[in-house]
Amino acid sequence: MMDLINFAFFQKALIACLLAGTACGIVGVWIVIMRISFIGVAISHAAFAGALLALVLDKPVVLFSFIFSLLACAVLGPLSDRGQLHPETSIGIIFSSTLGLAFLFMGILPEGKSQALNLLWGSILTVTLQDVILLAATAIFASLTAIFLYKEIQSVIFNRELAKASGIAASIFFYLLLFFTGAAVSTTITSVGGLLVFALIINPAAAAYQITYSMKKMYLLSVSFAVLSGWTGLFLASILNLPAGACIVIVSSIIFAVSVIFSPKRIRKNASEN
Amino acid sequence: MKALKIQLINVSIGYMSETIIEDLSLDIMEGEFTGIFGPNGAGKTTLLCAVNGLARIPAGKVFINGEAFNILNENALRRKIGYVPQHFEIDAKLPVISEEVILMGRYGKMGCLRFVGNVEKNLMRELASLLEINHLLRKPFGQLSGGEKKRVLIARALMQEPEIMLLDEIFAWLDRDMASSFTKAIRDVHKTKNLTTLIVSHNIETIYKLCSRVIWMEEGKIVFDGSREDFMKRIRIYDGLN
Repeated sequence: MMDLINFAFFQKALIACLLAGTACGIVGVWIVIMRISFIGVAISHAAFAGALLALVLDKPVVLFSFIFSLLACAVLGPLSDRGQLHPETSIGIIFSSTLGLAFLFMGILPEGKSQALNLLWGSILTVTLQDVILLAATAIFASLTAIFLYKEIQSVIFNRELAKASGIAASIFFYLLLFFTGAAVSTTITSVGGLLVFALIINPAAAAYQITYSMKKMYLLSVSFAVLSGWTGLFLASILNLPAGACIVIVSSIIFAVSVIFSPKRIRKNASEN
Repeated sequence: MKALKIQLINVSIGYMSETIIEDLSLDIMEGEFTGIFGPNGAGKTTLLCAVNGLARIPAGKVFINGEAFNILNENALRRKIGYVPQHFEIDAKLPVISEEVILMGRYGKMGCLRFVGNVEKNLMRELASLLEINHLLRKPFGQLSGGEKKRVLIARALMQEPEIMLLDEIFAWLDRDMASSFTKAIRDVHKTKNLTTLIVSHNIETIYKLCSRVIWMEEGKIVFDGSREDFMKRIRIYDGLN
């Protein structure tokens, strides 16, 4: 196992997991507390459709997935904000439309389906230096946002109407959070994959949610669980010769299951019921 | 002479094809404690949301200290208005403790890129003492009882150091003892903080004990606006309460 660490490709994959885990772990806290997990799914599918269109047109994948995820945010944000449609309905429409677009682009891809599958599952073991730089930029921006806008974000994700009533530009911060979700998804899609990124956003944050009553600790736990899932998954995949993305998703799911079983919140609730 | 604090001129608010408030005009003077009374669906909560700019107002104008809400000043005006909503459902597992909920009231006034310091923490402790919630500060907010949550939310609203307080059915589901101590706390806060307060309540006793003026609403219109004594005469139970 220690031999693996000596390989440059594996070192890059470990760094990619650290950076993607940091970005996704932070974004996950916002998504899980606001209970908008399916907005995250819809945004990651939009990013996937954008990335496929980029492949069809031979354009930069990250740029197109970013534009598509921003378009999804621009539609989902106001619909969820104004309550004109039930949020589940609007998310369902965006989800199915972007999935339809993704299949359409996949059908007209000139070089077959393997590139499309790479985008779906990612290729964490073959990340390039450019991918690592992009992941680093996303992780740094997400961390700075979480630190310097901590109080505004906390207020908005606690209750948007009360935040607005106390004079915070709640809608702007809500859109900013959606924008960062889109940015995190689109910059990680090539290395981590469209499916894996969603698991890295939701599972670690949902596990952290079971454990703590402090949002600061939730950030730390969520990032730690995401990085731990990435690193453990990578080692398991290499040792057992399995797909890395699948191993990372399964490890993050196991961490979630363990945190639910041993959740102090659940134990306290059971104790109060007895 | 007291200044005009809140002014609504010909305000109409509707949702879909239903009218909630129709052509309503109202003046509230500085320091007044005004009760908003009326049946369900009368437009009482919508009236509060019109005052703090949370409701969309397709017709009419709302002025706070003589200034009308617009896209440039709405957040600055809202910082002068503390608001405690009627309904506040929250997940019991939510990672936030009461102390943080109270501090959130100050965030708008503090502005971006500033961290919570001793000034904010001292004000938070002062308000916690005033509302007798020191023992709740470290507790997860989601695990508090309905009455405890309301007290914390009042402290949160007061963290804004508001000029106006809007309280929506804050006595709902409180037992008699709790309601009695709560009434005293609200009266003390109104006096010590020199507030202009609007309280929505179904409870006649609450309105009688707290308010100097009462507005009675039905079907989006004001059907009575006068002193609490006249209000009590109107509902004919004044003698019973005395």
